[in-house]
Amino acid sequence: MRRASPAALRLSVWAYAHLLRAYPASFRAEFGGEMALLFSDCCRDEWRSAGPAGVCRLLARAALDTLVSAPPLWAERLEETMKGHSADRQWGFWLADHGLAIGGLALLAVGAATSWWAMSLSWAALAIAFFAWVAETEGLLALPRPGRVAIRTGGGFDIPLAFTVRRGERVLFFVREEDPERGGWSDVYTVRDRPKGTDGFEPCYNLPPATRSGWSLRGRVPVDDLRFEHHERVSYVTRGSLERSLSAAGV
Amino acid sequence: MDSPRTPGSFLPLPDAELEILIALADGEAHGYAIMRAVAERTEGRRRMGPGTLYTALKRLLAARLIEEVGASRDAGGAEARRRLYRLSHFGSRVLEAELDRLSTLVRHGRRRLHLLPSGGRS
Repeated sequence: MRRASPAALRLSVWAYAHLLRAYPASFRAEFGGEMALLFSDCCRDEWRSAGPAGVCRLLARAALDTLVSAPPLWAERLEETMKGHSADRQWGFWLADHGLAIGGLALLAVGAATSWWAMSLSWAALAIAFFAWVAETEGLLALPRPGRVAIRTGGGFDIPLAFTVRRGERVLFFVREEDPERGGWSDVYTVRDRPKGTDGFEPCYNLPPATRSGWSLRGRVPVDDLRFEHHERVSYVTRGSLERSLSAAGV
Repeated sequence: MDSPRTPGSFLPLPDAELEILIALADGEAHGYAIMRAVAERTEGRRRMGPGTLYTALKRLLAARLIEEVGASRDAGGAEARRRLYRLSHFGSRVLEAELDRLSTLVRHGRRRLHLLPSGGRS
């Protein structure tokens, strides 16, 4: 029986800790610590019974295990994204924007599938196109990178009626459909803020000027949260009137 | 509170989840103990990786087939990060239903292979 080498163990656990990044953040937060601990125990066992070769085999098995077990968690995550308005969304936008092209490529790949790798590629592309289609039909998708929130509208009735943006996040509106009477759908929200230390939301007129891609709220608005409410539920302001209010307020 | 779903609605259980429920059938255990129990029961043929194990535990917790019962302590008495899991009452009903289903399947399979007389039991 060999004594476990602390350096080898540390290196293996370090490598596995990087593998854990393949899992969604919420899963890592809940189970990542235990998984790393379990892997460390397995490493110690393998080192004692089979030495460095055993640890290498364990790492290879762990990588394969990650490849198999992480995608379903991301699929669940994507499904949750389609249903809610939370900010933890990563691939929706890209998939929705490229779904059609990917679908076309998938058809081409299927047509050209004369070998196993072409067939694998076509199936992968079809899977991505499917997720893109699911995302598109839900109308709302989006995003992200940490600290950013994006709301995408795929059609008038799929726009979220209300959503909240926390301080430090970034709001991006992506307009797909124009309302001939009121302008872009992104205009039809009442923006309310919740000043620090208060409970209620109030109409907000102190947003910084909109940029081409939206409003950047990172550290520039003295509020805890911003709430966007759709005009079907409450009165609304257009982007023009909001910008006039901003201008009048000297922002 | 038990899950509103019936035990039959969980069947058939995925392999990993069935292995975990069997491992927890005789008492609480943490992830590493579950993994060892599965490896020992299958004589090393089934080695469950951490990803497979904890994604299955997550699903079982969400379905309330198992429950957390606190964290284990290491030999020195310090609080370890290992959470202990045990089979819930509802989980044991699901496991029982799955084992019944499997034993029926085995019995029918053996009968078709003429390994059992008609109406015989395995």
